[in-house]
Amino acid sequence: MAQYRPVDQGSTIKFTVQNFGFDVGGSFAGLHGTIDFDAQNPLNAHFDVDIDANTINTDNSLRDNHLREGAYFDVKKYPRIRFVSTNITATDKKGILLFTGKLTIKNQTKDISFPFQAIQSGDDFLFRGSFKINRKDFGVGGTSTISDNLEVQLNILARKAP
Amino acid sequence: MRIKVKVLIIAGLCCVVTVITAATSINKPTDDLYTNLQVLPKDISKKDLQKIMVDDFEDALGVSCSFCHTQKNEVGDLDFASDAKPEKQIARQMLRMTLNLNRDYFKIETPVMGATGNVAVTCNTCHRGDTFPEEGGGVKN
Repeated sequence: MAQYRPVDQGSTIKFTVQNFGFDVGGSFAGLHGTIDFDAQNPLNAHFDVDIDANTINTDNSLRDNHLREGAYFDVKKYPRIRFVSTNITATDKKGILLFTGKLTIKNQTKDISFPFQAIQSGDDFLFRGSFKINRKDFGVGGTSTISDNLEVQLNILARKAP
Repeated sequence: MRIKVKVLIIAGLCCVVTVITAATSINKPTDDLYTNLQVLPKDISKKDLQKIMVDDFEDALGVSCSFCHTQKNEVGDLDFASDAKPEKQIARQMLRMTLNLNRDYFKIETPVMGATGNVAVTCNTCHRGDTFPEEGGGVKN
């Protein structure tokens, strides 16, 4: 099975959360990890990908610094956010796979499952999917004007490992 | 002699008119057209608007203009009318909430913020100079 490495260039890791009823967007970068993937045998794929929590960018430096602090992502203590797959399964929709695995934020690991696509582009693959999480499940922030639930949109470009 | 008196009276009247005009124009609506005011009065004076922006937003939240207003060019000029940043929408909603608190709970029939304001609850009532006061003792700017 071929091994790929996720790269920042060509990738986006975005989230949307409501604050006081209005959508606020943000993103992360600093992709790292390995992806084992074979388009002919995708159910044997394995993902172990992490991102740099310190790269959080909501287009507002004051807020970004606030989100890096202890009450939210506590990036000094927990610098990485990690996705690890435990199982990849087929769905009844052609070209759509189901990622089942673990998401770790602030040292708190939760099961996560979401559909995704693997789009081949030359030697590379673009993995595209989205899911919803509750930030309080991971101890990210407390009671505030920011909604508990947020959506994460992944577009991860993976280059074939040399 | 009569001509001199007339000239002096006319000159005096001109001075009075000039002083009154200057004094009253301080708190009159500015000639600048505010194109996207949705909560604040559309004919708000420049003085009132600046007081709200500086005292109620900048000082109470510890932020600068660019916290809510988006940049319109690479030099850093701000597009004050633009609603591109969600922070501006949130600020409007907070402002509505603050005005409603004053009207509904403090029985101020027509709550007004700014230089001629009459409100009991202001942004600073909760923020106290803290941009993100929800955790108590958050970021002080």
